[in-house]
Amino acid sequence: METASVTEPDKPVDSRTRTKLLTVLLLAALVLYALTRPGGASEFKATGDPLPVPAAGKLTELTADEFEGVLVGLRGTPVIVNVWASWCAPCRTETPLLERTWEAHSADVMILGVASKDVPTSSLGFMDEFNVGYPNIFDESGDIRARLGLRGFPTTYAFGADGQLRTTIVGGLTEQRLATVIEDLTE
Amino acid sequence: MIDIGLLASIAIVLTVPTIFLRPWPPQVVAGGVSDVSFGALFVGLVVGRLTALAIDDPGSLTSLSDVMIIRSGVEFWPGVFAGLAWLALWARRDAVSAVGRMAALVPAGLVAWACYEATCLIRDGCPGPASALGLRPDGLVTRMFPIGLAVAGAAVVCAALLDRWHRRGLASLLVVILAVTAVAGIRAVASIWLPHIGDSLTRQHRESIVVFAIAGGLWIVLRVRNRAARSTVVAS
Repeated sequence: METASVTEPDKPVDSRTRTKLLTVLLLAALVLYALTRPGGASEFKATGDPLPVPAAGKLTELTADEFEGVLVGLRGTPVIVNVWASWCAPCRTETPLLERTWEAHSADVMILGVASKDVPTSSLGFMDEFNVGYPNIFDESGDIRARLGLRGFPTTYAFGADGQLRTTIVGGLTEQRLATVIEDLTE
Repeated sequence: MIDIGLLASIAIVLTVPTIFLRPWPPQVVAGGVSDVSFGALFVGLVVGRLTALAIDDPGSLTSLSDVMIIRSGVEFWPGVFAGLAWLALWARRDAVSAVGRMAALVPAGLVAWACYEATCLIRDGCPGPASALGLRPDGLVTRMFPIGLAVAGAAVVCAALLDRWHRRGLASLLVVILAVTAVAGIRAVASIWLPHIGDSLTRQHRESIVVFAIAGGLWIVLRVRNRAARSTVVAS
């Protein structure tokens, strides 16, 4: 048997097997890339003098320094910062979810909306449409999104009670993902 | 913005079932399994997305860009039933049995669903209940039991069992109903442990319970009727 296997010519690899192998390799590469791609969290940590949280349900214009002051003032409470714009499609889907989260978890988690790259009247219209009850900040200059290292709309940043940025979710939120983050922050 | 995790998931869902499953009898899938199933998948995705928008944000239904962002939500069961309706419609056009075609595609469909659930690893880290035995989703400190992987495992087991029973003679209609019941049951049970906001059941949980009850009830009725018909034949 051994002799036969040595002298036997190599079997040609048929095209179907080659396609399967190539597809498996491609998928493995894709999975590897997705698993090893850089994480969403940046090195951002708020500094400065503590400031009070803007009024709930209102849109308050703040500078980037003032925004950081609000985050410093919130130390001791986990904070979810959601950067949105009225023209952003996934923001429309996730805003009711954030509102529901605010209603259920406002005692243990602060939710801060940051409207950016938008016009105030459109942002206010958006908040009215979705009956947004959590505090919102208007980022007129775009400095807040620059400091947060925003890569796309919407992006949600989860800060632990220690003020450390735990995770960044780029793109639309799902209920499962948001609930997981909240569970982790309040653990 | 392109979501690499979702893109990779879709690529896996589209390729794995067609690569590793056995070829189907030509009399039920005349045009080839991929031609038939890709169409059903596309129709299911579109209907699922439109339904999600109609429920959550009807104002966006007129915006193509909003409709195309499938990451923002696709309603599972309307999508599944739309896909099945598409299969039935094309089976009629191809003059083959609609139920036979659906039953033949059940294992591939279940494996595709299992692939989607298992690829939670590359989408969001497979969240679930906090558990010492589990994974730690990106950026979190809590380890969580990966419900998505458990769901994928259950779906693969169902695919193998239904494939075997179908080849051993279980009626196509019963295979399809059993598959729907199994998927609804798995989703309903998994939803108990999936993290969610608030105390009430999520929409997907409620829908899965309803589908499980209807499909399961239908399966029992058909089994009882089949047995009654068989015993009548034996008696006569």
